[in-house]
Amino acid sequence: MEEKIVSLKQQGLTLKQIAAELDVPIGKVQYAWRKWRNQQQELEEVVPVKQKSNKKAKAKASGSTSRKQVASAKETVDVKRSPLLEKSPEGYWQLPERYNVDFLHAVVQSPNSVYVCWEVSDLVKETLELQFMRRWEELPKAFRILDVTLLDYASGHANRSYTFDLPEMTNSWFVRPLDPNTTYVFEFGIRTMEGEFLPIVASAPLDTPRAEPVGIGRFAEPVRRWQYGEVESPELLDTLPKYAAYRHVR
Amino acid sequence: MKPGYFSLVLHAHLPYVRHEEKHRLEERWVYEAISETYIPILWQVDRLKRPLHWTVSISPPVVEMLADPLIQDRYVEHLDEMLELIALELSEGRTDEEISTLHFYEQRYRDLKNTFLHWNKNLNVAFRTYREAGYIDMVTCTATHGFNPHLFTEQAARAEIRTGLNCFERHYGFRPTGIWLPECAYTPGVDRILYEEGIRYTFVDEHALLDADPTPEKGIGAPVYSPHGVALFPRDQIISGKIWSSMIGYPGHPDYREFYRDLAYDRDWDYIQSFMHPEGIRFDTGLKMHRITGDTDQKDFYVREWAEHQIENHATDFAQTLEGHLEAHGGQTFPPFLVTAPFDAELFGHWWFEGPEFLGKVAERLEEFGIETITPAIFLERHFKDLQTVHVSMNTWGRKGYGEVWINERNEWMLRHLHMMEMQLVKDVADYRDQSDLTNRALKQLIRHYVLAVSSDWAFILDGQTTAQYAAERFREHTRLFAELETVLYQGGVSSELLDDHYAAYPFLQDEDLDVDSFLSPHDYYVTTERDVEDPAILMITPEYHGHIVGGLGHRVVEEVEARANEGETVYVLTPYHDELPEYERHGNVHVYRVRPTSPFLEHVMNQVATQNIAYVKLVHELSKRVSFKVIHHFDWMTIPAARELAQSLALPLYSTMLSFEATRNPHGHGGLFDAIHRIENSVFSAAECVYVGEELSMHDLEQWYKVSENVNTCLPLETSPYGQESMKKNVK
Repeated sequence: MEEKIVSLKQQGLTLKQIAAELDVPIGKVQYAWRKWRNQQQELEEVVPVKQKSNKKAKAKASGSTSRKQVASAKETVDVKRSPLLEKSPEGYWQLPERYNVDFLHAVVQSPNSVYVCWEVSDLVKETLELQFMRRWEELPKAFRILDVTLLDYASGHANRSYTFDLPEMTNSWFVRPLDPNTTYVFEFGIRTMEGEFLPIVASAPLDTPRAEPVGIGRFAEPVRRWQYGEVESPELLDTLPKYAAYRHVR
Repeated sequence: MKPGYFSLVLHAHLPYVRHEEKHRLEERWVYEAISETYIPILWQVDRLKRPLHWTVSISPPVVEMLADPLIQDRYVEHLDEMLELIALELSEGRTDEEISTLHFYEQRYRDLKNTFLHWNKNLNVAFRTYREAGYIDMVTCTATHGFNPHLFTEQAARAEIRTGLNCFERHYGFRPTGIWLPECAYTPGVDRILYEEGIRYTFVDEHALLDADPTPEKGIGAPVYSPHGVALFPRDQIISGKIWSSMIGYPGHPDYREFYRDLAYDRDWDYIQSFMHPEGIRFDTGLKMHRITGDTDQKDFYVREWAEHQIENHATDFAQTLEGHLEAHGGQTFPPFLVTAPFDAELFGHWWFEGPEFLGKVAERLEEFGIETITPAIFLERHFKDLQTVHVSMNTWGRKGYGEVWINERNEWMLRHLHMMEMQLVKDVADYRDQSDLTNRALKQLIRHYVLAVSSDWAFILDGQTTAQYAAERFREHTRLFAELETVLYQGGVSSELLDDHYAAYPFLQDEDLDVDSFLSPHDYYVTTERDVEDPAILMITPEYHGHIVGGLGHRVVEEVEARANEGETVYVLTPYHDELPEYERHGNVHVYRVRPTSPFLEHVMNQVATQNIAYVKLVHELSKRVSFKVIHHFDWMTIPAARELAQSLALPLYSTMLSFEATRNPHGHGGLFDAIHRIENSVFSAAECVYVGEELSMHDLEQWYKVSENVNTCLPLETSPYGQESMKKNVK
């Protein structure tokens, strides 16, 4: 069956036509085609590696623990080249336009402005397409600023928020004007049919700097508690948190 | 001695501009800094030969370039060329004023050469000697001057700090307890990393303290501790301004040498050509024959004696000003009033030609006035008990005091790529650490490429728009080399020769300076080396599970999970997050992830469901990098979009359990939500291998509403696997 699907696809039939032709669910056709394509990619990518070193790597893997085998097997399937390696149409290296990952990073420019850049992966875009039955390009894009000073963002509460629409294809923004000495979260998302803002990626909470003397402000007490060992960890935002590549794998 | 202290800090930094090929204009930045700043400062230290209590910060790129034989030899050639040009000038019959200045330069360049050769061409040895003699104190900077507030990970900041200290220690034989933060840029959290890396003090601009919380009792008259215990010494802007400001400060005096008027531009091309760039580019020779004169384009010739006279005047004026300032704060105790004056070292000599001599004279005047100069290290030894702890928010000593120079419309394009490299390095270290000596070397080379790309100089130059092309090219080049090497690492093709080639492109830092573990996360270590190895797993996505069971569906899910687990299958259950239940639980070979939606509290049902589905696909995308799945099984309509997308992108067979349907539950339903759910439900029949429906459902009813095909079945007995044996086998690797 799979061979038949691949053969029909190579003859130029659409997946829908193949499903009709063979009288099988389209999901099955999609699955077979994608699987075949992935296998091809795997083959293409493994072949150009220098034969000698590849053999060595394989020999080593087979000699080591089974754990390592799984890991290296996965790596050959998942990642064959650096995400930063992108070739222009002329064949020269160029900075990638996007990395097909989900993130939103915010950095301070001044007490009144923050620079934000983000990306949304195809995976998430396609999920939203399946959810709302509309193409990603047709979903209106928007941006939300949340003031979460002295609040827990995860609780869903905010002191105030401001949402504005963004042009399609935008992936960065200088957000201004903002207030100094305020904790913000920035979100990129879409506006749904009902006009509701649906966040897709969000920044970590970020403090804008103070721009004037505060006397005894909101940080004084948390600093004192930390200084005198009354808390186990400081109740202060840390702008350089430890990052883990596999943070979601428990 | 008068009450109070003065602390002078000089920070020497240039980007790493060493190029193998000759005649790169940027390499002249190093020659200029050596001729105008580094050696003249050393001359003052050598002249005074006593503890000056100056703190000299020297950045790793400068340290490495000063130690580089290629640059050393080219610098000597450069000095010879300069002497040749001066000789030519003297033979040309210039005016008396010019000849006098040319004689001054002739002597000066001879002295430069003598000094340089005296230290065997390595000025690190000179600084180290004077430091060991107790004349000066020294600190260093982060590896390449990366701008801390705009880094994304702790690991990148730590790598910059640790690498910088390692490099400095290799050349200077000791590990300083102070550091110069690039651009005096402080950001909450960097102090924690500094403290962990053994750093006890650094420098900030004065508004860091003036706007600290709580406001420090001593203002900028004393350093403070950051929350993690690093002493922050504030720049006193009034005192510093006397020195650095070309408008209100000393350097703008008409008798001092004019920086912007170079001999190269006053001579015919034919005459000067042989001293210029072979491609016909005119550049500064360093022979500047004029004085500032005043606010005019008509510049008069430089008169060395007049400049020397002003140095004396200004040194005295500075000592008097400082004396007044200290007396005004004389009442301060615990600790006594401290004026900290940190500067870019290149201000003295390069921008303000007479600056190094001024510093030497100031040192003498302060002694005469009875003003004590102190290093931050000694200050802390004496007064560590007297400092207040405060919160300091992000700030720098740059334009307007924050991050505007390093993130704006001219340089923002670099940031996402830098953050990507940080994330990649964390992942690569987790995946390849200690696999072999070669992979460890490759990881170090990747870190080297990254730190060279993250230098704050590129953003700074792009902001200023002079030599912007060079900065952009350097950034691209380091990023490209990173991408190419990382790809070779992934493909298993790393060789010693290749690593040598990568290193030779920019031979900055030794491998011993670079610590792969600075990028390691303990969690990743657990995942990659200690976490159990599992067989390919079943992924179940369900709106209901233990702790949150509304009706029949939840019971069915629990039973199915148990049944499969009893068969020895590994099962990952993804279900919505609920308060008071753990986000993650594991029971034998069943992993339960309770997943938070991307946003709580959306008003409309479909939107709530969407945020949950986005969260599922993001999580599985992460999981699938370490966990091998063989089948996806979703329950109920709510999980269909995520399940369909994951089945497609991971090329996995999809199974569906739908105990009821919107249209059969609610045959008279209508409206937008009804239609939307109906459409989503309908999409599963074509996407799934098999759709299992509730026993009580009538096929007839179902067919009325949905495009049902042959793959619909009633739920199987629990002891029978719902996943066709064929597909299970096919997907087992």
